[in-house]
Amino acid sequence: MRREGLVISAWGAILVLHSLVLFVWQGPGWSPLLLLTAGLASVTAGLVAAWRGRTPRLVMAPDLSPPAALLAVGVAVAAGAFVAGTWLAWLGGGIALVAAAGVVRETLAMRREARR
Amino acid sequence: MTVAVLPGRGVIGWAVAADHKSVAARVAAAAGIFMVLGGAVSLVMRAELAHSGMQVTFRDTYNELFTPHGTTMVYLVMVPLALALGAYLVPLQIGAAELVAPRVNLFASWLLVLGGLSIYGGFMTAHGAARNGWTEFLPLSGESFSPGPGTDMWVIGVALADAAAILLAATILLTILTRRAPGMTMLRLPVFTWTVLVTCLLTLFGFPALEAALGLIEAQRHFGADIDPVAYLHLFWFFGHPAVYVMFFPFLGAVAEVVQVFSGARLVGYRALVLALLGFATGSMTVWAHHMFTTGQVLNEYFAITSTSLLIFAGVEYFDLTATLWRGVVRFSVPMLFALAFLAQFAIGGLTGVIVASPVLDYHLNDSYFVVGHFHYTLFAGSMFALFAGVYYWFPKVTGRFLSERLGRAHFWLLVVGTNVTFFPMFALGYLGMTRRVADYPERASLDWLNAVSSAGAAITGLAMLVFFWNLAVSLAAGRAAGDDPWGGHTLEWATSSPPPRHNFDRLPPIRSFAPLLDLREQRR
Amino acid sequence: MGGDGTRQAFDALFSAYVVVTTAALLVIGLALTLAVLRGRRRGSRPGSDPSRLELAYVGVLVLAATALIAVSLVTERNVDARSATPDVRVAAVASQWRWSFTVSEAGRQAAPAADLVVPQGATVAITLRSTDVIHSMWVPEVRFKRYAFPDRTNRFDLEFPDTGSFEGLCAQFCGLEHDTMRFTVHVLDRRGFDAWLAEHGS
Repeated sequence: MRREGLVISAWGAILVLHSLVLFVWQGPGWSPLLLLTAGLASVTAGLVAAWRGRTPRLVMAPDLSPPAALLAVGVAVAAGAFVAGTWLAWLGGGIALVAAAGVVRETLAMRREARR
Repeated sequence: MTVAVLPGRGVIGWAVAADHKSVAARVAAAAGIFMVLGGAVSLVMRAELAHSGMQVTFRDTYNELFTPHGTTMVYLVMVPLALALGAYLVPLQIGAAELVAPRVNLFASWLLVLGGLSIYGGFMTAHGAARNGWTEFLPLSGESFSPGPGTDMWVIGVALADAAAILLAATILLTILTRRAPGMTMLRLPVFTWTVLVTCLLTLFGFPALEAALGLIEAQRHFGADIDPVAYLHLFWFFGHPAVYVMFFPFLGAVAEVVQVFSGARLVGYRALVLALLGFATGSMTVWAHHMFTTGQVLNEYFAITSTSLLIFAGVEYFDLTATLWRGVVRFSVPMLFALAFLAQFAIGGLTGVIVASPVLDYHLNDSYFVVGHFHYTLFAGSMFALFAGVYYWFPKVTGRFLSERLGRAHFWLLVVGTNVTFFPMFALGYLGMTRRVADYPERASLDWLNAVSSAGAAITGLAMLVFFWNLAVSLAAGRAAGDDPWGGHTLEWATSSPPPRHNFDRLPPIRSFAPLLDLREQRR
Repeated sequence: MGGDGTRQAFDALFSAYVVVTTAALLVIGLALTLAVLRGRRRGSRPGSDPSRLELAYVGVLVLAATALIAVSLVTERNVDARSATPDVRVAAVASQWRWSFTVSEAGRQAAPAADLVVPQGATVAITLRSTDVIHSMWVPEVRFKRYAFPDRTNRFDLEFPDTGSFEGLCAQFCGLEHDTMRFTVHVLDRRGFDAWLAEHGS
């Protein structure tokens, strides 16, 4: 993964350019700020993508992952705190924690398998 | 090389399957169910609007209808379907066995479903569901003007759905960048994959603004914060405009594939199209404040320039697709019918967009039915037709069966009539002074008959969709069997079985262009 | 020339745009039809390289976009312009779910009213704000609308060329009774307006 990332950086650079044009034309404000943020984020993302090395030849892909699905439940329940109160944040957080532990367990198992 | 780890299925298995094809199928199924809900709601709306006076609903109820209609169609149907199409097809088109980070995709797919449940859950609360449009502007969405948990459940649901989209976009983009088969350079990516790539860019760098906007709503509702309404508008539309292109590009990509395969010609002007896509995507990020022309708070001139300029990129795409049709011999199968209708109808949507990209014209037409007509032409008569082109094209690959061609034609013709009869009168209605998001309108001859016609069209559209879902059911059960490559496809997904095995490919053909199978066929001649 | 003829500006620009977009639609329709029908009569042949045609076509698109942008920006500058010496001033206030207009001219001010009364042909300087949520003041007759914000004031000039009564409505969803939040603009001739102001003003 090398030069392809630069496509993203080039794309982002144009957004940065737009933000500068807007800044010169109308001065500081939401419009140039939003474009600058999105532009810098994508330039950075592209550079990071271009910098990283090649993908490993062997990739482990899990077929089933109950913990990942449970994590979604945990997050959704925690978000419910905005509706039903902080206790949901605790409940959701707890579920998410258990799920995250499951995800970590799975990842370690896959790494062991890959090394064999 | 990819090693599959666990076996086992059943309902639980189906729910926690992490492979990209299952994730995509789950998201598509959820989106399909939400589409039925969102569509049913719109039929009630059109029944109410058929005549002046309140005949079907109460005002309050009506507001609780148009809000889930827009909300569902954007956050729960078209955006997820765009990404699901990419999630299923991108690995196949680039010769990869799986998407990057399958568990992230699994996680995202459930965030989406739970988000949808939260949004609809608002109906079960005492104060009712959110009712201020899919945009929920502040201060109206604040605590004092919209009391009750319905709005909060909407905010949470949309936040979850938005996060799901961002995550899926990230993994799909990383897959395109890092998992291409040997020989597949960026400039040999199929057109559909390029459209998904730009879709992912828009999602990744535009959608987070929505999370910020939603945060502002909750800051107001729960912490009483004094929020600048213009700040909300900027953040919302910085997301909202890229969002409509997310709901366009992959479907355009589907049309590009269908146009090539069903005219038997390689795409004309591939590089120009790729450049146009990238330019269009950049443009999409710079036009958002055309939704704010009538606020008097933004630099209208700049956004008029960027918005109108989009026609250049769209024009290049039209040129290349038309030239491809010209070069080939057109087969009028159902996918091609939908693709052609898309090209004609999206043009109406796009050109009316050029009209409202002019601030002075927007001063009259903004927030009127003209705009409602414009975006339904681009999103329904446009993107959704393109989606159907893709569905009828790729259904055999996904299921190993054909959709009925006969029912497909019935679906097509009913939908063409239905969408045009529903949405064309809206241009006149808007021009004549009918504003949007209204449960009722003053009794006036012109408004009345135009609305009646539009509502009749909605009934036909509903019928068309029933035909489609019937076709889906019947074909899933007993559709004609399809082989690996029933259409004479050009791209790699047709070089494997229908449906593909878990790891997608046993063997890959040589990749020397963006149409490897067409190359092979031409070589053999 | 502030706010000069918003209706006139819109109608002229809209006509131009409709002509251009309809022409474009016809060209697209024709091109698609020809492209689709062509192959049916003859077999497919590898065509000549269309990139020069495409380049020329892009040139046409750029010219078209530039022309549209140019007329749009010029028209906008005229419409958005505000007079330093308006004839009539109006303070417009939007609330859930009614309007309030306070009209004044040369020191005389009428009591706030639910409908707007203005003289024909005069430059009317309007300040618009809201007391609660975002609303939008739309008068289709003069083809113009503006948002009403609770935390800032929008200023714009309008001119009403014809006498009569015209509808005004709220064009930004503002809650339960948004669709009934309407008002009427009564455009009176000079004498009628003077009489009205004398009767209602102070």
